Amino acid sequence: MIRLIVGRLAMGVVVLWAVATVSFFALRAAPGGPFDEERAAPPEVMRNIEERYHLNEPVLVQYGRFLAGVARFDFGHSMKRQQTVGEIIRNHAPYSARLGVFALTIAITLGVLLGVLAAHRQNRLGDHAAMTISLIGISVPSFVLGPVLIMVFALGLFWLPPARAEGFSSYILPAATLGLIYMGTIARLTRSGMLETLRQDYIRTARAKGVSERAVVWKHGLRLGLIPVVTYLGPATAGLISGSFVVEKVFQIPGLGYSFVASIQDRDYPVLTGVLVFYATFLVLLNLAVDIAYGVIDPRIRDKR
Amino acid sequence: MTVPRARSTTAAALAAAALACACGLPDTEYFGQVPDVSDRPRHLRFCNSGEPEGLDPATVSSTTAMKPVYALFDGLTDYDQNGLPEPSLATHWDVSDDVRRFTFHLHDKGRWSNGRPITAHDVRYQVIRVLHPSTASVNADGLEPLKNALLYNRGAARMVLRDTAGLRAGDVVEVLAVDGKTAAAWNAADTSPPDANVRRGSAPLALRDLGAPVADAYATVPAGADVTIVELSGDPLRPGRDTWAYVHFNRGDGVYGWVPYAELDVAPHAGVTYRVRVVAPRHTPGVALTQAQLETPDPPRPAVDVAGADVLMLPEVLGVRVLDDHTIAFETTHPTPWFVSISNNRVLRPTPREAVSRWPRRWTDVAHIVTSGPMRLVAWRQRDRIELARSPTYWNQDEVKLDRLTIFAMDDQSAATNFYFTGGCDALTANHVPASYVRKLKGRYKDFEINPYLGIYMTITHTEVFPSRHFRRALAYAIDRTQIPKFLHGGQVPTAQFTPGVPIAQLSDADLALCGVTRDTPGVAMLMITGELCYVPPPGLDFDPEKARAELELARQELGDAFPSSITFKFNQGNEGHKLIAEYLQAQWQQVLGISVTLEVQEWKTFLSDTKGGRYQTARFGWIGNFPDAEAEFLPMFQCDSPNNRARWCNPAFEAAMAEVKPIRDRKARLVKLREAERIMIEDAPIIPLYVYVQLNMQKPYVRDLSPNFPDQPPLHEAWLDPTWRQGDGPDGRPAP
Amino acid sequence: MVATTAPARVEAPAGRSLWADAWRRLRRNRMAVGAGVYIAVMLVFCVVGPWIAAAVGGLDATTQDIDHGAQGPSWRHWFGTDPLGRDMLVRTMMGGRLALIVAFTATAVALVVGVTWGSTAGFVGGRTDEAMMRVVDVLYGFPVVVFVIVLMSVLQTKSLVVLFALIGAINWMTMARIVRGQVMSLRHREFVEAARALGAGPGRIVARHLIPNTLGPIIVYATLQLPHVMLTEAFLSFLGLGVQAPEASWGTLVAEGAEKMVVYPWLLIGPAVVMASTIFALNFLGDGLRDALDPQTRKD
Repeated sequence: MIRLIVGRLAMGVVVLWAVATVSFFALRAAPGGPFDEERAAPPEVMRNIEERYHLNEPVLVQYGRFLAGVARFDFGHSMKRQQTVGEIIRNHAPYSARLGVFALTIAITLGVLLGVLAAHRQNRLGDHAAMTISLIGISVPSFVLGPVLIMVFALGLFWLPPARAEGFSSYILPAATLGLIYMGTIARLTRSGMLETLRQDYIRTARAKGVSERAVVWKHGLRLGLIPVVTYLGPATAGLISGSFVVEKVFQIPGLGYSFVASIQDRDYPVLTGVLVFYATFLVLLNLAVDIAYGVIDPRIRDKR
Repeated sequence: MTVPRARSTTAAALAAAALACACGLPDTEYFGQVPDVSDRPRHLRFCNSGEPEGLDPATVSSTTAMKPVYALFDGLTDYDQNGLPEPSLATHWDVSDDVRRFTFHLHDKGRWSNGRPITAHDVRYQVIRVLHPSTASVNADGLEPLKNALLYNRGAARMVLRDTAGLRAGDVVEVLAVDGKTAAAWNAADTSPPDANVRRGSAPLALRDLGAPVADAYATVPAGADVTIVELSGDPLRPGRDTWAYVHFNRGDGVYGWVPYAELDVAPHAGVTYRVRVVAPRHTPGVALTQAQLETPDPPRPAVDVAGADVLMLPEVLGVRVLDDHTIAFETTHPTPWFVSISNNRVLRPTPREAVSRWPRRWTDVAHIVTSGPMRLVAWRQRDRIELARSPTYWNQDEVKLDRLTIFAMDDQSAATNFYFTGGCDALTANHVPASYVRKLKGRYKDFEINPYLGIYMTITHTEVFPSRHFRRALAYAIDRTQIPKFLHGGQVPTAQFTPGVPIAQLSDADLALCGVTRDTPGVAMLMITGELCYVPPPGLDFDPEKARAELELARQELGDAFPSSITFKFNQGNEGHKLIAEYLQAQWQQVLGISVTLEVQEWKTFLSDTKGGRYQTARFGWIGNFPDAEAEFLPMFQCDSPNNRARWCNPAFEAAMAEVKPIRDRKARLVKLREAERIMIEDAPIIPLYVYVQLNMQKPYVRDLSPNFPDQPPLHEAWLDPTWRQGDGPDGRPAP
Repeated sequence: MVATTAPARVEAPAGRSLWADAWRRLRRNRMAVGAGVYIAVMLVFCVVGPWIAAAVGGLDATTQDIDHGAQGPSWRHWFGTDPLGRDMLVRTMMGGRLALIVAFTATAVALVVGVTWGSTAGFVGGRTDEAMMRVVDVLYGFPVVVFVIVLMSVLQTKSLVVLFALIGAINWMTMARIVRGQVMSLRHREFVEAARALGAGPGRIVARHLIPNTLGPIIVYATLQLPHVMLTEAFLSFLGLGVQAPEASWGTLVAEGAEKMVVYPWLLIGPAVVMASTIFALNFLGDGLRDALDPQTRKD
């Protein structure tokens, strides 16, 4: 296990380098620069700005400067805002994290519940009802679901704030919007995983031995049945955190996803690469955790490794 | 054919929600909740259009940033309720007869938040900061009329320090080449020329405030490290033992500071050869040139070579001079009648040297900032909100009605409008209501109004791709602008004229007389100075299908095989209106001219890059002026060398007309000539104006003295909340809805 | 519901009986059949609908009638009109054509790439697996928006084919992970060992034994992929990189409708109901297919 972890971490460094490099060159290849505006500045003014941010240097020199910074965990200064990339991550990541944890809690709790219920009552009313509910999250895009929730709970009933992150109550609607999307997927994966598992020999054995149905489902079945869900948790968590920008925008939550997308639109190169490397680090660790979780849940994988 | 019936619960839920929203707009007098504000009559919560890119008046440029910046920093003048300059730090100003010298007289009551008096030196320092290359400010452009401003900004305007090679000490020269290479050659090689302003100290340099002892130094430059001289105290031509130098140490975030000039004892680029040419006689701002001097053009001077140590880039070359602590004079290259109009601009709002020196990039942090305006900075939560409070050091306390001002960063229109609806903020910044809402808001809620705005929406045509004038004119004649407000619903003013303004039909009788038009004249007029100056742009190529087809026929004959069978139209995403306009133009050109049009929507920066780089055929474009002046803010974009000349239209007749405008001193005569220039442009159709922008404004009924103005710079600190508004007999201090 | 078949079946019977079995079971699932019928109706609605609308009502998706713009549903315009006065019903039908073409093609691309990648990694294991999964990690860490903006700008193309390829290229990674996970848990099962003992090569084992045994999750995920693809397409259109105006897909219509929901609800309701119900039906059909095709429930 230790070897696995060390090996994966070593690979992780390579992954981070690749992500940093690709993003560095990709955004610079995209048309437009951070200082292009509708009202264009005279060339002499632009030249001073480019000099200040080293944008006039050959790309490879900029790349070397960038890598040297990354090695010291210094991603530099934003080209559009009066902050360093580190400050931007520190300021905005907590909002996304709160939103993500809340949303994931909703998604997993409801999703697993619905999925198990559906598998347990396959092709019966409970199954159809559970799947229908889970499908609401899948079928309705967040840019529709969010405004609809706002319309009803904020503008219609005045129960919850329609925007901004100010206290717990303001996270309810965005977390629900975000969570429902993943809830649907988790419910479906749980269902199919559970169906698969409930047919296994050992479940039959358990049943034959007279283990109660509740224990069969929740204790023995869920363990293997959750493998697809665990697989999905990696991308889901990443998506929740990085892809939550639509929700962050609709609800005006100053999270990192929102800063990230803004950095692409602004061509704020240092922020983009910095946030991206931050995300990638997170993903590498997350995937490692998922792989370890695999081993814990399914001893067969662990033993055969 | 059957419409499939939705049988799913999703559909049912959607339908229910949609029903809820269809009836969601309440049938009330005001849009959404009107909270009780009796507990906070002096606290305004304002929904801004996003996160400002910074708070430094020298570098910020977005209208988003101007809201907090103008509350924090005072200017020579400020915006009044109509958006025009009103005295602030300056009590009055003089304009010389040749309209090239502007002398502002400051009162002595101005104080920084640290208690230091605000003087003319602070204003000059701001001009230097904005223009100095190390600040790298996009706003340098805004000081373009100031003498030698852009030459200084690119490091090419320098001052000769002693008599040498046919030059006299004090001559201002333009650098043509450094070490045998022109600026273009250095640029092409992606390197900077060696700079004669770079110095080193053979001992460590203690950076401090002017005249302070070494013990008060806030930064130390290691011995032998490069610093750049920005400014010299005293007479730069005779640096003596008491002379100090203000230097920039470019490491980390950078730092500026004063050191005794004598300590800068190493000049690494002293031997570099500069090839220079005298640009103008030594000027003395505040003193008018004689008539003879004015009318005699400078004879061309030969280029000469000079050693680097003899030429320094110093602010003395600029057309700005402090006459005494409370008098500052500006000099411009040409007669610039609109110079006073920029006196409330960010580029002339002083910034505190003591803070900027220590933390050049971070001086606006809450811990470091020193301000001069009616409000001071209390907290700045990025992308969330900025908290301001009344500044106890502001000189004009009577004018400040607020104790507290909260500015929310809300860049999503729907979210901001929803937030306003639930009473989260008291007022929305201009145009922060989704355009599609307007039809339901207009005339229904008393807290919504539509006001004129200083912007023009147009299409641009790449004139190198479509060199045929007839073809471009055909495109312009084919568009029926009156249809546009019908599908945009925003109250836009359809126009074929370029310079925006107020519809002539809405002018008062006095303004009609001022503009020299009658009420039934079609089109718009721009009121430049209330009661004094009005500009009526020349008529454009308005909808006329017959003429359109006739022009197209001419173009067909002219172009022969080169006649374009189809064209592409580019627009940027992010605004629902752009797409509707594009689809409408496509249909019109197809219908009237039979030209097939391909639409191409692009992400914003890509769109900017493509239009600027000439990679388009036709495209949408918008232009918003900072102040109402056709000459300063609108027509320069059609000059051949303008970076904003995206149509790549270059017309000698237009250039000549614009050149003729420049020396004219009488404003009315100037406008007559200007109108001729604009007519040349509009007749040649490099652009097709479509409509004049409007401002959509929302504010709760209890908000007082926050009146929207033409350039969208309402003085926020003058606003206040009236908790007893319901008892009042109609709104006072508020324009009627 | 309790399965009675041992999973360790050595060899799948001839294809015909497998698919015949599946078809038999699928027909017994009324929800799935209903969903299938609904999808068929929706295909007809999108493919044939515009012609009927043109023939009967003289309506099309592009003719503008600004004086009758932004009006709610009426006898003439069942879904109302957009601000330029275009018929929303026909626009929804035309949008469906695009959305369905994009969704199915892109999913197919994602499926082929993802299954190949995932099964290879999972089966071969070891370093190859490591390397292949790290490639997936890198692509995961890569922001879709940058990828798309760069690609679309560099290619300077606006064709639908590129759009398919892009969406497929964006979405195959999760599929690869899931297939890999399944294959990893299957590859040491008895039936695989048996096949190997009988001399089957790796290609044959993957193609004949492993992939069929992972069809369940693949189909489930593919159905989950379809709405995801539709939403990705909408997202791209929203960014200005999708279907070009004046054409509009469901995603575009819904995205625009959501913006105007407060004022013109019909701009959202029509397209959203049609799109959501189609996604719904696709998912139900996917479930049915899953139950029918899963090799492990073949003879219940």
